[in-house]
Amino acid sequence: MKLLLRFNSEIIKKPIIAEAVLETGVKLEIERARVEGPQGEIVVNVPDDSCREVVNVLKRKKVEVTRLDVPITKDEENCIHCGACVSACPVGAIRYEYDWRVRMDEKLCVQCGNCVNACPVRVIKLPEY
Amino acid sequence: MRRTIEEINEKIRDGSVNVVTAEEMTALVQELGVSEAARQVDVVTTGTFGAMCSSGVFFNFGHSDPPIKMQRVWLNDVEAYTGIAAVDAYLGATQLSDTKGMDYGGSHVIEDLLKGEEVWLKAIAYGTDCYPRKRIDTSITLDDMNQAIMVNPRNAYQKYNAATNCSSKTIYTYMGTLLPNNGNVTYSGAGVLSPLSNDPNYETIGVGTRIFLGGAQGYIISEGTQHSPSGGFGTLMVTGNLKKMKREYIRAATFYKYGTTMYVGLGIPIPILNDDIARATAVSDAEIVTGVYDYSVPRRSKPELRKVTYEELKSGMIDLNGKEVKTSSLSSFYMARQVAAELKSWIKSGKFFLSSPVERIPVEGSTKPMKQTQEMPLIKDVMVPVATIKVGFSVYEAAKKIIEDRFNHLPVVDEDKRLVGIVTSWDVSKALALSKDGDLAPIMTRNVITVSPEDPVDLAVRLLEKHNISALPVIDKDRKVLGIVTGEGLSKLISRGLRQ
Repeated sequence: MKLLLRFNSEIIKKPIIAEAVLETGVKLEIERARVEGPQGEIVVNVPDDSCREVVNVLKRKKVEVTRLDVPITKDEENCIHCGACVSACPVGAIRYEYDWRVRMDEKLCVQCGNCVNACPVRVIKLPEY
Repeated sequence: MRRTIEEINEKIRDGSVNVVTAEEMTALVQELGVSEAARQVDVVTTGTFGAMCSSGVFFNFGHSDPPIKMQRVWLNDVEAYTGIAAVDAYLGATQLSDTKGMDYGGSHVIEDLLKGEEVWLKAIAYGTDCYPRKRIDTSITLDDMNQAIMVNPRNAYQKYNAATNCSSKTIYTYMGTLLPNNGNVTYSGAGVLSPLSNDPNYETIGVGTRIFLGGAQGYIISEGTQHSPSGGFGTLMVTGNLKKMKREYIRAATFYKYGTTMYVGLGIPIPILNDDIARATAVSDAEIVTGVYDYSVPRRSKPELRKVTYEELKSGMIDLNGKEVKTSSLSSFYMARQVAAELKSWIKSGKFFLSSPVERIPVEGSTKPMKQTQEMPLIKDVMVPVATIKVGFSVYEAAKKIIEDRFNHLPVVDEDKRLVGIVTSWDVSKALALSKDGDLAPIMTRNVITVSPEDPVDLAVRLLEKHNISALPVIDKDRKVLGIVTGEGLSKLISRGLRQ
């Protein structure tokens, strides 16, 4: 299973991935990593049967864990269709429809999470593990 | 063609009034021409639904027993201003919660009240002979309040700047998330449906005009704060009864890493009194022009990259220096249409009558900048010279240089003296402790945060804090190193200022 791990400034300098590997003995495959300012994000691939164990260890170390096998969801009822998310999406998965409603194409979404923060009314959610 | 507001109201009463939205009017005038459209249409409805920070509500909570003269008051931990009378307070949309910060603010309290939820009221006081109580804690709903009157000092911007980011870092602004290297453009405003853009001479929109505000009937109080009509940036101060509003049209919002704000649905009916007014309401997105500004420059005057029309902005893509850049709106055109349509249905069904303004709002004038009595120090006033080292030198040589110059930071430059990186005494000590003497390049930081000599000192303080670093090289347009500002140097400057 793919997991998105977010590291805040408090924990970013700690060797958390190495510790998690040593503590669980699970091989974590790092798919991509990005550090911006005092925060960092890593996408890891974890074998399904040991996922729970790895997540527990990471959460104890204050890592924010998000599942990437479940698509991003938008609460249609509470969306105001402004479109603040549209240009924040790097893959064009969010578009205005003919009537200026904002629609998300889950198939194109790569779960980068840009739209989650861009949404002023907080109706877009990445599933928390 | 001429008609009066009284004649229109008579038609509303007898059900024969013809109302179209500003979008429909634009198409109608293109099809029939101005005079014929003016003859057929009595009223044009406009609408906008955008983030309007300058919004808030006056409350009267009623008196407790024993009574309290509130000195400070909080609703769900968001402070309201109560320097008015014993139990009156004004809650602003952008006021942040003392406990939840940017996740919850004044606008969220207002939305919760509209949802019918209870909010927690806490107040403290110094106590007087007539108001002995010093503290109160209670929960309260919108129905429990005597009055909840929305008064928004600045709403309905005629049009607004479009924003982009020319720097190499993502920035978070009141214009939303702006991606690095002109990664996107954001804009706000309803364009063709914008109330003031449909009556740019403010002939029918003025003090006392009855409007649609938050799903209820409201009124214009005056021109808004920062009203700047000469540049086409008029604004309105408006009021309405929160108790009659609908949550659909008043929505709390948070702009990430910026703060809270409130989306307000606002619509104004424009009576078609003559051909000139009809012509003005035929305005199209292609005729409303604004500028695209670089919001990475945190100064009052930001560089304008180009002029752009709302038609181009709404196409989803604009050209910036030869690059196609995605655009998106922060205000909701979908909801702006709902506002204009709902106002239209109110008028057609005889629920809403038009009013003449009792006074006009200014059609000329611009916003003045703030008068500042103290000089703002610039980087060039506080920077100090710094030694540099050429790329290609070794860690050992960098160590020697740091010791000679007694500086913790050593900018690394290329053959042309242009900045390519930086090493700190920490980087160097660490490398030497690990016996990694050799080329400097692998241990230097390449992504250097810099400032220019004309930047204000406040910007340097903000950058040092934001990136958790201790120094900023000062560079010119060609990336040549002119000096350095350090956290230590700035602290000295600040403490010296305090002593004076």
